[in-house]
Amino acid sequence: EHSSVPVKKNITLERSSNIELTCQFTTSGDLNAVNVTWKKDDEVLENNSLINRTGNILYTQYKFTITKSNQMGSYSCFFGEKKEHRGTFHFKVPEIQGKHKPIVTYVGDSTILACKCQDCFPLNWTWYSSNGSVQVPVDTQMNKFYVISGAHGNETKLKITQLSEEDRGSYWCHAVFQLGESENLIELVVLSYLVPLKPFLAIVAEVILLVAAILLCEMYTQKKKKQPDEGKEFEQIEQLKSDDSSNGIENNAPRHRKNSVTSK
Amino acid sequence: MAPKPAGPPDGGWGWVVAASAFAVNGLSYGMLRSLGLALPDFAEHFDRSAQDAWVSALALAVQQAASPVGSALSTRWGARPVVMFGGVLTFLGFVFSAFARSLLHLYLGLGLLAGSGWALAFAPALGTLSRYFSRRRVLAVGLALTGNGAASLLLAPALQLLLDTFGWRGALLLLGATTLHLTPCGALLRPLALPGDPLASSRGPLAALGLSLFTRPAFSVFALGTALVGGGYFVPYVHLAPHALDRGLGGYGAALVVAVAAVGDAAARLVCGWLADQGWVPLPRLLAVFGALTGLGLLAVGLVPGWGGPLLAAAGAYGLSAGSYAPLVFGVLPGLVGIGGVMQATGLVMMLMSLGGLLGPPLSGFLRDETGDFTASFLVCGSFILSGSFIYMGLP
Repeated sequence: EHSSVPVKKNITLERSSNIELTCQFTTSGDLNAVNVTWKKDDEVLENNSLINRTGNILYTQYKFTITKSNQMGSYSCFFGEKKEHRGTFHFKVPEIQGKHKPIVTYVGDSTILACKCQDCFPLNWTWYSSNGSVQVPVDTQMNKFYVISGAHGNETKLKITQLSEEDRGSYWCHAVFQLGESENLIELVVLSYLVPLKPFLAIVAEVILLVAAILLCEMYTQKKKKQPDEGKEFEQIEQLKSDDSSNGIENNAPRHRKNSVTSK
Repeated sequence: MAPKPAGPPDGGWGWVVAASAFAVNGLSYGMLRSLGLALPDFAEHFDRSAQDAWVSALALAVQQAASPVGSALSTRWGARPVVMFGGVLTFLGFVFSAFARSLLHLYLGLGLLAGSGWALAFAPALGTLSRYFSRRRVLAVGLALTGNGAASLLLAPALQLLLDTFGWRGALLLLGATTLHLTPCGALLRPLALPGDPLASSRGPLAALGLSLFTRPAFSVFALGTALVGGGYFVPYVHLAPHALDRGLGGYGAALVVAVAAVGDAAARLVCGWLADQGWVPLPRLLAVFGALTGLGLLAVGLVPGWGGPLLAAAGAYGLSAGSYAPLVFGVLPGLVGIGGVMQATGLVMMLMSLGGLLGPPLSGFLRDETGDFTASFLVCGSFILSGSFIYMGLP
């Protein structure tokens, strides 16, 4: 790895590995005056580093083996006293991808909570639930909880059946690696059917009212049309003429004249 | 003594019918298009991945294929009761699927029931609209057809909100109540008696489907052309976004391409509707022209290099042409079959397009899998549309 300005690199690691970290520093000044130090987090590391100076480039390498989780963290190479002349390598266990939005379900329903990580092979997956800050392992002996592992080991699913309102809350899936653990939070919401039922019934009622209003309105205007027709053939003929669209233009004038007489 | 049937009123209550058809279009096609947003939630719940995409495909197929039934029933009993019943059927389909315990229930509820309900609602509503207008028919139809674009715009975020608040079950329940609004829309479709209406009593059920219309050479030519166009028409609905993504655009870039096509489509429906009604060019000619332009637009989408301006321009050109084509397809019908046959013809047109719609997208997907990108897909669907438009040139 090269770094010539303060640079950070993230490295994902699951299991014991041999590590080689390399930093390269280029400057125009006197290379011999530059002090090279390697640190893990804030502690100085002794001696395992290789230092090479050629021309304008200062080259340093740090080799070690990571076997335990407390060896994960940030490793930095420092050149001289200035804080900017350094490179940092962050070692982390793989992260798990999961849903960011709460899963909404209903009482009596069943649901599947899934966690997955790309290109990783955890030794083990475990599920916890919490109703506050304390995480409690999910009791897989109970009939309602089933843990299903994916075919490739990189995913896990928790199936919960016969949901009840007590099941709501936060669920955590933990992926256990040799070098640490990774976790992800999934929120579960359990609603009762009454929740959507109220707006549902409101909308249905509104539709029924609309239909009734439309049909009543139409019956009313039909009645109004029929009443003046009683015995007045004169006006029936007027209706016929005004409906005949091919003659619409010519008849507009006489129709208006008649209307202005009758509508007082 | 009833007044004898006069011609289409060309206004008046017709505008109310246009508004109703606008809403019907939105509550059917618009709702169908937005359903895609719920598919990931179905997949997650039923622990499947790809099969749920078939839910919307099934609904679309049922809606298109069953349309002639809707038309036949409304020729017999009038559009109003059929559309109102269609609304109830769709409502029941959604409510049933809200309680689904398996993917099969979703297919039955959304695909079969809701699809049938939509079939009973859409074609009769559009057919009724055509009957209410003559000089401004294409404009009115174009106006109504913008309904699904407007509805998608509103429904997409609304659906997401429903999904986040109520989960997919609650969302389906409330969507069902929303689609029930098809029933008041149906109530607005006042029956209209027109000269040329076939007498109700003298025919059997098969005749009511309007199959006799195929004996008219003009309609048969139109049918063949439309079936071919149908093979290409629906492909962009499904594959324009994935094509943009394939070309290297990010999610928002692809959304922009789709939006450009959609906005062009919606605007063109109105503008072309108004233009066509001016009568400067005979409708069948316009149909052939815009069909051909749509085909060319799709060829351009497939062939244009890169992912920036040229792709957007091609998508816009496609959108404008496809939008102009849509109201014309319905607008030419009275000229081909007379105003009395419009109801049945509308249903048949839907069915013809569905034949292509069932063939086009899967073929496009197959070509993509074989060749690695969508170029071949768009070339093929563009050619389908071009050949259909060529056939349209044979119309009187």
